[in-house]
Amino acid sequence: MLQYAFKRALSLCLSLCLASVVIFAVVEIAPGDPASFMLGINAQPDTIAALRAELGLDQGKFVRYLEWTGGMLRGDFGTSYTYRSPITDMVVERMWVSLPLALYALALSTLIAFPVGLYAASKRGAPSDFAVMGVTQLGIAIPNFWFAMILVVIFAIKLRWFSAGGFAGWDDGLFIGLKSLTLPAISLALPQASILSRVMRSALIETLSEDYIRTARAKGVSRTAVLWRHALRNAMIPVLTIIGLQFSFLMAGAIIIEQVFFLPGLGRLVFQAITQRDLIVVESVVMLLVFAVISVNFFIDLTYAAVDPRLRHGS
Amino acid sequence: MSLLCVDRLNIKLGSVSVLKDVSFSLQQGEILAITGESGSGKSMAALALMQLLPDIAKTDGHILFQKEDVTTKTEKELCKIRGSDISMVFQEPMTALNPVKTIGSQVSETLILHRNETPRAARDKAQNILQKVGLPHSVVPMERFPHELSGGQRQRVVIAIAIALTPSLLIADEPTTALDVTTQAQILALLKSLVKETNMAMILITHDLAVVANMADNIAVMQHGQIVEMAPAKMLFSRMQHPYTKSLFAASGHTVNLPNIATNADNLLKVTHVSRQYRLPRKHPFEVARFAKVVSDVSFSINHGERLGLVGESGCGKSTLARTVLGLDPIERGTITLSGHDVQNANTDVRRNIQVVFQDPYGSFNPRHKVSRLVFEPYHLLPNAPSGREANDKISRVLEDVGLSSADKDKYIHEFSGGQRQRIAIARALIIRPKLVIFDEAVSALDVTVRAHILDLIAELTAEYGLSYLFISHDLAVVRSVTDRCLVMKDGTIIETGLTKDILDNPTHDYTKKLINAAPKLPILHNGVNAHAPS
Repeated sequence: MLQYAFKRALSLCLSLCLASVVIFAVVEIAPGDPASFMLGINAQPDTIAALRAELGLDQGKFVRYLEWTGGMLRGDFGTSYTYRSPITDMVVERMWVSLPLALYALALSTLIAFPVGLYAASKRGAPSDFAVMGVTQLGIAIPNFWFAMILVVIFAIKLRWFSAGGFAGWDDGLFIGLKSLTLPAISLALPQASILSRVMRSALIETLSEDYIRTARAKGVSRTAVLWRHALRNAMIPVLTIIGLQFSFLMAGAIIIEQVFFLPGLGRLVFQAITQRDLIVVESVVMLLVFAVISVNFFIDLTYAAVDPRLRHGS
Repeated sequence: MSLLCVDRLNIKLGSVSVLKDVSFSLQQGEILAITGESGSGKSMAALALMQLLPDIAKTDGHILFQKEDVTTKTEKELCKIRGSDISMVFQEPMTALNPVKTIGSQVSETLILHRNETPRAARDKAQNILQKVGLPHSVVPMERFPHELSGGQRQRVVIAIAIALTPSLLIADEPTTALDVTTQAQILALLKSLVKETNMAMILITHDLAVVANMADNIAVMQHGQIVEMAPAKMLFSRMQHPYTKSLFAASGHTVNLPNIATNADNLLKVTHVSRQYRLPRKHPFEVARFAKVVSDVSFSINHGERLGLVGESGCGKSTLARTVLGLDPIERGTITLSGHDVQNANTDVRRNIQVVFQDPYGSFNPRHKVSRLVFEPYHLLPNAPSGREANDKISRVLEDVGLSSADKDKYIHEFSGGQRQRIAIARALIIRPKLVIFDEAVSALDVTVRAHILDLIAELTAEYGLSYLFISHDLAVVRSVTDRCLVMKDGTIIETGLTKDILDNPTHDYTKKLINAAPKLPILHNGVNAHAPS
């Protein structure tokens, strides 16, 4: 187990190094000089040069890469070109929205998908299975921004249970904060839950045809108990893979929903930074997201081994 | 009153009748063997007794167990019977256990389920039961997972689960088919002793008549969902009535007439001091690499026209050796030459002269290619492969040679039975007239009658194609029948070599003796027509 964890951790570090090089290179290749963008098209060459020097853009690429990565290791992401404020503060502030939102949506999606998948698998072939699978099909097909708007119309405008947008912050308590994230989380969770419950169902059904399920039934374990005690854990590997992918998507891909609900999240920060050629912000946030994604996958890898003893032996 | 009484049982899967008017009864302490070829309905009968049939199955008739009809019981009542009064042991020990649960927990689950034991008490009892089936804690701790056990050990765990509550009826569905002869002998002895000890009844389902002969009190022979003959074991073997039983018996001990081919003394294949090792997974990150020697310092040769057998238990390195000879696996030491050319770094000229037939007739073909393409494939090893009419002729001829028709070339592989597929595999191996063919357990997955046909075919083709081959098998009777010389392999080394007849009749090595003794034997018929001389 320790060896497995060590191997995964090593691959985590390597992936991060590689990702930092790629991100830095891509941003370097991307057209548009931040200094000339900030000063407008009428700027004098020497003004631009002065700004470039101030931003540190005149240094060699290698030096800038080392400064950037070294800074990140110390928790210093540099200073935004546009806002002239430390990126770390900006990111931390946005993280307090994006991370809870992603976790909230993931929790909802998992909480919906598990019972739905288990139910559909236990009723496979029956009309209720078809009905449930039809609904999940719909859940995947509906664009989440549209679903978000419907939610706003019903729950914010008509019923007035939630606010239509914005984020209340965490200062007034957990409940207030979560309440303002509820509609966005539901709109994000709907397609994810649909996908996850379908994966859950097919993984369970595949597991149910295994020989050891027959052995368990021959022991006298009932149909329902077999599903819980023998099939569920064996069906977890594909489900965990999807959960890992969904978390990564929810961290970075919530941008449209953030836009719909006026949430100051990471997605919006990246979007604004890109339009303003605030390259250092783009680099840092993307790197942070990569870190989040890779760590989540590392964690998922560890849960694989926890679920399946055959994976614990290194090979 | 019998323990179990099956009365005119009919089962349909959709519109297909899988069991027709099956009736039999069973007393306490009795062993009933149900035998027959695959698809004859043996396993369906077993699943019907457990009421674990597929959902689409329609049952008609009665199954009285302890005077109560199980076909009318509710699912809840059935769950109480399964595992406590009737239990089952399955064929495939590799997949019959839940891979994510320890063996201890899988055995104790039965106790907790039916006896409401506390987990602790169940654990202690499970340990005793595992000890009883030959898995003491000191050798195989209960915290082990199934993948850490060998096939035979896993089957012992499955048996432990089945006998945990000393059921009155144990159904064993091909319990030893997936196991080696020596392991098979142990498992059969275990089952027999359990029956004796607890006076339970057992239904033993197997296609192997030799196993049946040594174990059963009564034998039922099934064909196409019907019991065609049923009698006490001794009577059945001495006075077979039904032609199907006779044909089954004849096929089980079938021997072929191997034609004599003039062998000449020059080596076709020469394997000298070959070793092959695999790297083991490291236990900690900085460990020095460790290797497992799978084939170690093996030397042998095959002359032109010679048929060599290779026997040994699974995991002894037989298949790895075959792969190195085919040039599919690298070797660490030694040389392998075919007619003087190195096989390991060979070009297609050398490679085309060795072809192979594998064990699994289902997995070894691309399901999306037509038979013509599958069979013709080795020609791509030749510089100028025939095309058009010439190619067609060659395909037709080879298909006819292996007993199929030339019209079969436009079919897909799923349209053929297991035996036909193995014929196609042989056609594929022979089409470019190789000098050497490797049969890697080529008849092990086949039913006895099909196996007899394929063995006859191999003998026929030997004369026609002047074949030399390496025949790998764990089945000593088959090896006796189709080879001239034979090697016995154990733990990666060749421990005995010589004429097949000499080795099987007068083995010198203890291991060979053990192998021969463990193999179940068919009884000699009283009317003088003996199936094959038991070793």
